[in-house]
Amino acid sequence: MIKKIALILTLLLFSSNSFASDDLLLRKNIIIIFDDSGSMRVKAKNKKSRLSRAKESTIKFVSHLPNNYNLGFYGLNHGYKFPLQAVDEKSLKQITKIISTMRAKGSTPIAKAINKMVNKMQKQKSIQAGYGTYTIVIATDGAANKQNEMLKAVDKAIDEGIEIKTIGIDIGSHTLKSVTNFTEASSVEQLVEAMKKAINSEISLDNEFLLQDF
Amino acid sequence: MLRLFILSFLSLGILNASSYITPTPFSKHIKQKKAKKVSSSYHMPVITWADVMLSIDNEKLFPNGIKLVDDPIKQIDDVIDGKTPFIRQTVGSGVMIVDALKKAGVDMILFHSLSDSLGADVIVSKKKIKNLNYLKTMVKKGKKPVIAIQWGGPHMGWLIQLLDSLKLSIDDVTIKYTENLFGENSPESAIAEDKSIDIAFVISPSAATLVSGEYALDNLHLLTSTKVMSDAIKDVIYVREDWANKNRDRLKKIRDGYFASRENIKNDKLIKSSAKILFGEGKQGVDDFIAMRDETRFHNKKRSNNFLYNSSNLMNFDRKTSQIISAYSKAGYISSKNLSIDKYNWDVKIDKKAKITELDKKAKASVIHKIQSLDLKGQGQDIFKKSILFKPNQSTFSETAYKGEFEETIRLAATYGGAVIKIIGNVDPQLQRAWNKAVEFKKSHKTAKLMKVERYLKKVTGVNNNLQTMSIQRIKTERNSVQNAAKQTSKERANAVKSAIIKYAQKRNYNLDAARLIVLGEGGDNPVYKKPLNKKQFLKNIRVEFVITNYNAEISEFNEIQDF
Repeated sequence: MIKKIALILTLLLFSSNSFASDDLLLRKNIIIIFDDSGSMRVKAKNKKSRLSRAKESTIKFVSHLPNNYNLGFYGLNHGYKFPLQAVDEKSLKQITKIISTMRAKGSTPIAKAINKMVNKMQKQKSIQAGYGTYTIVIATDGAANKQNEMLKAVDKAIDEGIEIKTIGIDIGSHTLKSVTNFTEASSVEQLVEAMKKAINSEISLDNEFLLQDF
Repeated sequence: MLRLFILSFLSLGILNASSYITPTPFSKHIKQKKAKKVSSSYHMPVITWADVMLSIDNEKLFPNGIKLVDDPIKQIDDVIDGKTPFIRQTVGSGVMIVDALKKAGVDMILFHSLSDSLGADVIVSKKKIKNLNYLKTMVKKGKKPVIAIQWGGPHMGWLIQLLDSLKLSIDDVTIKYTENLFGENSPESAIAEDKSIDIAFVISPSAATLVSGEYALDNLHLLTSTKVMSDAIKDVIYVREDWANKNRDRLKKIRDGYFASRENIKNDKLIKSSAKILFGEGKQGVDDFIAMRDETRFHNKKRSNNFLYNSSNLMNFDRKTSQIISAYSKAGYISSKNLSIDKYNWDVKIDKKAKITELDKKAKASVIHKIQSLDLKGQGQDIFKKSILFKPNQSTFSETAYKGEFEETIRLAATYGGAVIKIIGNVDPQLQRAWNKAVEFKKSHKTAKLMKVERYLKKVTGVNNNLQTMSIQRIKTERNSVQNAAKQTSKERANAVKSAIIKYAQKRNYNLDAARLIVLGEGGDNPVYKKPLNKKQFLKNIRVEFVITNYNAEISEFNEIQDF
């Protein structure tokens, strides 16, 4: 490997606001698709229910979201409860309340959720004139309904330049594992880390010159 | 009427472009005689231009009323004969007149600024001259662009400003001087008839006739206009210094009267009387006059003071005049050595702190939307373009390293006040290309090539991606992430350049209309070299481009900006 130029311009997409800008067009966007299906009531040994852990970790995560992010929240069975927006003191209270009051009920319609949120992201991308970053984080504990439709929805998201990251709660395998960035998490700490990781990409641009032989 | 007049020349085919004149300083045309004392029955000269309204509205202040005198030599004679203490001209031709009068022993000073041309004057060119940049290209290739312009006319100062903005001089071009501004023996007839002419300075009705409508010529198009170069032609009044020193109260009344009359430019009676003086009686004359008025920016007190007395204004009278005098001296267009022109002192207090105009966050985003949309429709006309290169990963732009570029950008923003300057960031495209190729090879199952990409990515980023086992969706996602990051970074970088330019302007006390500096980021989408073959090519991709573009469409956000 050739010696890399110092990563002066490394993009830390999370954890640092060093590149935060007041440029509205450069805002980053994340929508959390939250699995609130009946299976989320399950408790693992010596642990709170999946729902409780997911709620606690999501609240922690959104409380520390960098201020150059817009946040949206969608409950699989509750709908688009918190439209994409900048998080300030007032809206943080709102989203915290929304997450706190989530109840586990119903099925796992991930395809429908992705399709709806891709549409929201497309609209936002148009508002931001094509700039910005667009990430959908799916926190789920199990198999989705209509898996083929879900895969089609993922393809649509990718074609629109929207990144999908999946967090498997108490599960090591999922249909989304091979087609999206997948992280397995169980404890609250692991879940928070997985969410942070979902928007924490490190991309080095302007690398040293190396002739491409392809 | 003016339009019809020009049309009739073209339609009748009586244009004769063969007659050009040798540029001779105005001083050679006047008889050496001692200037007379200014008569108590003096007049105010006016020329065929919309700000005649201001003089008509204040006619009672001039004992002998106002007089239409388009011929600069006649204006010079009237001053020498003591018929008037005033010269009414543009800054560019005014310099020639002041020079001539100095030779006759009359010192003139600048008294007042009246207006700017805002689209009434146009540069028409052969279509092969795609933009102003092309003129530079021609010079670089050793070919002198041939320019037609009226000698001593209102466009002289504009010519100098244009050449200066392109870093060219009069010696770099061939100029063919015509006797008239329009009609026979004019730049308009010259470009229509003389194959050697590349560009011509004309008035807007002539431009309309030449490039659109029934008698348009296929090989011509509009190159730029005073709508884009909005500070190019300024109309002013000079006054005899000896008379001015004894008539301060009268001059003050005239000055105040002119400022007050700016409020009356939509008055029907004033429009009719103005049209009558310039074009005669009748509805056509009124319509032509209104068209001319709408292409005029009348100076209020703030704009006038800013032009005359504000040292932070890069387009102020002193800078403009000194640029013109320097060029005229070298070319032998004026006789005096070390000519300088003073301004009447009104003890105006100017806040010398630089004024930086800027849009708010929402308006900035909205303007970018509009510009992207206009660019997609091909409705932006790039006037010229230049690039500045950066080192890889550079995120700060020091004044020391980029002083020249910053100065030039601020100067261009002032020169092309009606256009926008797009600051476009571009990053190294190699990573983006690698991931694009990964998608392509994965889809077409070209395993050997995919492995090459994998090895490349590992060497460059240190990350081992197993492209063979990764799904196409995951590879596409990685590609998208790189594309988004490149776009974000390139815009951030261009934002940083804009911020550095603004800081530089503030520090130097230069006014800057930063609202018209539009920042875009193209990531690695538009590299100079798609696949750099060596380090030199690689470095040329890492750049910020400055593109001066004219959009004919109204961008309403700019109207909200306060004048400075």
